[in-house]
Amino acid sequence: MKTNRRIFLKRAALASAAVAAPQIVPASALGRDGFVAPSERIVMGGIGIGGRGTHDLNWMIGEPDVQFVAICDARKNRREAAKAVVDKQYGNTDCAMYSDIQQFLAERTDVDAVLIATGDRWHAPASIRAMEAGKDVYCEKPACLTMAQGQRIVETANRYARVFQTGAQRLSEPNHVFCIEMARTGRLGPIHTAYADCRWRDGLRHDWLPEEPEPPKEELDWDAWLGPTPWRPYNSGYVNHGWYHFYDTATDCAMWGAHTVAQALAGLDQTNLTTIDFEYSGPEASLVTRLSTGVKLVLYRVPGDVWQKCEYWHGSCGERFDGPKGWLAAADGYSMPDASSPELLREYRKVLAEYAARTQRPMNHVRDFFDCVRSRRPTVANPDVMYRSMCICLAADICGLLKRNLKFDLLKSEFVGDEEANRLRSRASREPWRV
Amino acid sequence: MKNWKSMLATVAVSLSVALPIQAQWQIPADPVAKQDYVAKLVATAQKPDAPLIERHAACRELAALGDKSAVPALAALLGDEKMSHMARYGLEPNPDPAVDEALRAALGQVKGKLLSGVIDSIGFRRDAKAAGALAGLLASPDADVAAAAAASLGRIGTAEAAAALEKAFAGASGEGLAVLGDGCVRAAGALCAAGKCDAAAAICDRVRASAAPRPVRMAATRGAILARGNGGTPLLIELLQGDDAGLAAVALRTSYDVSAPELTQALAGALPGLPADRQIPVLQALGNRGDASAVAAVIGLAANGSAPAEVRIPAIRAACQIGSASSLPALTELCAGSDPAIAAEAQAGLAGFPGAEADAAISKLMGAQDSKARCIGIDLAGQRRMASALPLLFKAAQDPDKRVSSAGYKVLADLGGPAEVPVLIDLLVKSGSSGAESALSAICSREGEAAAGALTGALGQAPVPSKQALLRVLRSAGGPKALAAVRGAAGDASAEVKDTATRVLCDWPSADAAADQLALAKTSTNPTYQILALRGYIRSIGDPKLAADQRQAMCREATALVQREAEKKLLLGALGNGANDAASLGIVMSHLGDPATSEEACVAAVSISERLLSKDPASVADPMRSVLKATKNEEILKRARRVLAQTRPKPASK
Repeated sequence: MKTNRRIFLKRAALASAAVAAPQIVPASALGRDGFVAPSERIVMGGIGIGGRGTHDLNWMIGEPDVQFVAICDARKNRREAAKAVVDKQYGNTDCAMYSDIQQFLAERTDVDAVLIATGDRWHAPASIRAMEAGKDVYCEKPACLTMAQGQRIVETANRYARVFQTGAQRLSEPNHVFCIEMARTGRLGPIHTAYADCRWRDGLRHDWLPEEPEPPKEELDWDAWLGPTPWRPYNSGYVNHGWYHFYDTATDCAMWGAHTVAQALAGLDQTNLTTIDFEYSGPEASLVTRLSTGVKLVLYRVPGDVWQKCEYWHGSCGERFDGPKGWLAAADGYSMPDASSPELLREYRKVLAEYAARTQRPMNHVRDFFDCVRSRRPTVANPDVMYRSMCICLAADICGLLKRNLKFDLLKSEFVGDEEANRLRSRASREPWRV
Repeated sequence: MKNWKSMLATVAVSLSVALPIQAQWQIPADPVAKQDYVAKLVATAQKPDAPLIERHAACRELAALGDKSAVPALAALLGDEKMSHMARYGLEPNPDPAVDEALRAALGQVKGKLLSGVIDSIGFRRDAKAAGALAGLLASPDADVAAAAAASLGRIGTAEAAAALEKAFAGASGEGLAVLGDGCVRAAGALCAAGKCDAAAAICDRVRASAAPRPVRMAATRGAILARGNGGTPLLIELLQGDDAGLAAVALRTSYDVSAPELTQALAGALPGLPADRQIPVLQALGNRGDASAVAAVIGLAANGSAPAEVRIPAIRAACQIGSASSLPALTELCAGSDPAIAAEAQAGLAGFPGAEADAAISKLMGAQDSKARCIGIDLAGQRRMASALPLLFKAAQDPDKRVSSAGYKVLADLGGPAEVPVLIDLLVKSGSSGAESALSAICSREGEAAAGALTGALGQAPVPSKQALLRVLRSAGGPKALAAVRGAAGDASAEVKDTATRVLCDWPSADAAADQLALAKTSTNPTYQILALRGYIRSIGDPKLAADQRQAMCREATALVQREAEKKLLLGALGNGANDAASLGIVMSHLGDPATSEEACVAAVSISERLLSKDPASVADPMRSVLKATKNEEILKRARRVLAQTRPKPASK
């Protein structure tokens, strides 16, 4: 981190006022028309900005106290497209481009925080490198391919006193927060079953695509693109989204579970949660898990895509809580949560007001990240939240791979009595990359 | 979403051609068969002429399954450029001590990036026996090897590893300061976890006083605070008060890792002496700690009128987050204060403030002398859904100040249930208040027929204006009892009551009054009633409870009566919303040629056709062709084309 870093505490004034009420950002921090002086802005860089990254970039770039200054991507066309978004926003051509992450992190000591939206294989390695370089990190989900990677993110964020947010943005959306709070506060009675949408597709591939000539390095550095994952010959299908389908570069249940399990967990009492049992029931069936607290957590899987209406919700990325006093569910595209009784929804405003008073967090995930960059408070989707939810997701993947029931100890981060499963908690990094 | 779907479909096609590979992860349950399976994996991994993909795949499975027998075969591949990584992949998670021996042996055999990889695997395994060999590699001329050794020694974190790192760090420069400093801080963390926190603190102190890059020194600073336990608090506070904003940020971030109440006290104690822009994050930290011992310091700042709003606002938020009842008197005073930003913040906080004490404080506010404060209290009672405030809300509803009365009725409308209906009826009859009528309507629309009895009971004795209001409320309640009362009132001696009842019948929210509406539309001598009744009748066609044949019959009746353009459009809308039969489609199509109703007819025709398509595709094809000619609305065109496309026979599957 640079020695002349802008005084973050001045920014804290802005963050303080921005929490849940951006309209009262004090005049002392804002210029006319809500403009924040460049010296007061959080300086950002983007790493691996593709489709989802561009969504995040457009979301973040609209925040008045944020300034993007650089884009780093192993792919030339992606670098240029993301730079165009940034330059258009600021009406100049100042956004710098980098193809090498190490060079970017070493040179741009002016960057306070980074948005990481690479392919999943690079989420953890990039996050760790950025935090070791003194940057705060907003990283898309899933934040890691293995439990070991997740643990390293937790360790690095702690050791370097960094702020980290995983992009589980539904933790900051009113409908989901309402369901979570209703469950958490006992308004549905003791929750006996929670559901999380883990639909994605039918498993992961282990094969290689036919080899194609590698493009020039300035267009795509294939070795860097692969990073710590096992080598395989180049094929354009991988870089054009195909990596989603391969074990070495993606996850299975964890892919969509990373979108939903954190919400399901947030609504449950985790005080005495120690272990979780996974009941394997086939590649296309929902994975029933049983928490040591007695709650059944269903990782919902059926053939078909995540956007199809199902028996528990009618959008993608849903979660549902069932208790003796009723049930509540939320998913994408809802104007209000689904409820077993309209009476449950009458507390909507009250519950959200209580959440706001208790947590002082905004209903805007990237705003929560920026507020925490200023205040140094852990984010709503901090490394511990990420790690616990990813452990469950990745344990589900291991259960699917080994095709047998497993018990996972959440406190020790290890499977109970299953050495083979424990060995799958990590994957050796390909040299010279380290995670 | 559409992009995702099309992208995945495209990718699925483009990926369909792939190299063949033997079936994987078919692990036999039988131990003997499993042993054989593992042996085959080992054989494949070490077979030089096997396809690389198969050798990699074997290593991937050996990561989970490989036993001691797999170690020599995989270890032999550590120097192979194409196999070294996958050999480590197979070895690294294998708990057999033979793996450690093999990796240590490889330290002296492999070079360059392959050596870095081996060192990384040793670090992952935290092989303390390798510390000496790794210490020797800290001075490697290959910077990546040295960096890997530093990282792995840090992970091993024994006293020997830490000593080696410290020694190398003392003589380091340039990039070495970063990797060795990081290794030292990592090792310090491991030492402290093993109970050697004094040694850890000493290491961290040396790194933070060094010329290492700033992120590493900041990491060391955090380590130095934490290694001291409660003894780290003075350092944390010193940094918070110091000139270095970056280190103050580290202190703040670290404060979130320390739950000790002593730190709460220290932060609260430091608060008054900090400059305003440092008070803010400290207030946020105190709020997050939720420790009531800080509440006096926090609420003191919140209530300090001479402090800047930028500090008072986070102070209010922190007080609400702590949630101690002792801050309630100040917060209730602030929420009715003259500074709008402060008041709004206090109100938002009280809306979600936990506990019955907060309810009591708000009840007290509802009885304040100042009417503005009473209004705020009423609004907060509504936000908190305070059932205990209902008596006070009734009192507020009768407040001579209209703002207070209106606020009271508004909240009663939201919170009231069947028990509140008789009291509200009394208020309505006594005062004729529109607020009472609105509150009753809101409650009755929620409670339905359960509330109708009290309303009809009051109807007979009520004076005319109240009777009119009660009739309107009966519409909100709905149901047979309410409808019967309204029908009865439609023959009332009072012209005003009769007029209101007739209008309520015309506007009845379900098809239960359809017969009354049709009769009025056909036979009333009052042209206004005729129009209102016809409109009500057409709206009734949209009642989802109607059977299809009932709806069709009503459509026919309405079609015969409709003359004006406005009602034609209403009818087309009603048909479009509910009809699913060819006859209704025919009615709609008859309006397609009229430019005044063509667009509404097109929308209705497409909507009906979408519902009709599955059971009678032949009947929708021609209407859809007509719609395609008649409209320019892109959305309707798209829907009509979609329907039309589905009427065409599908080619036989191959």
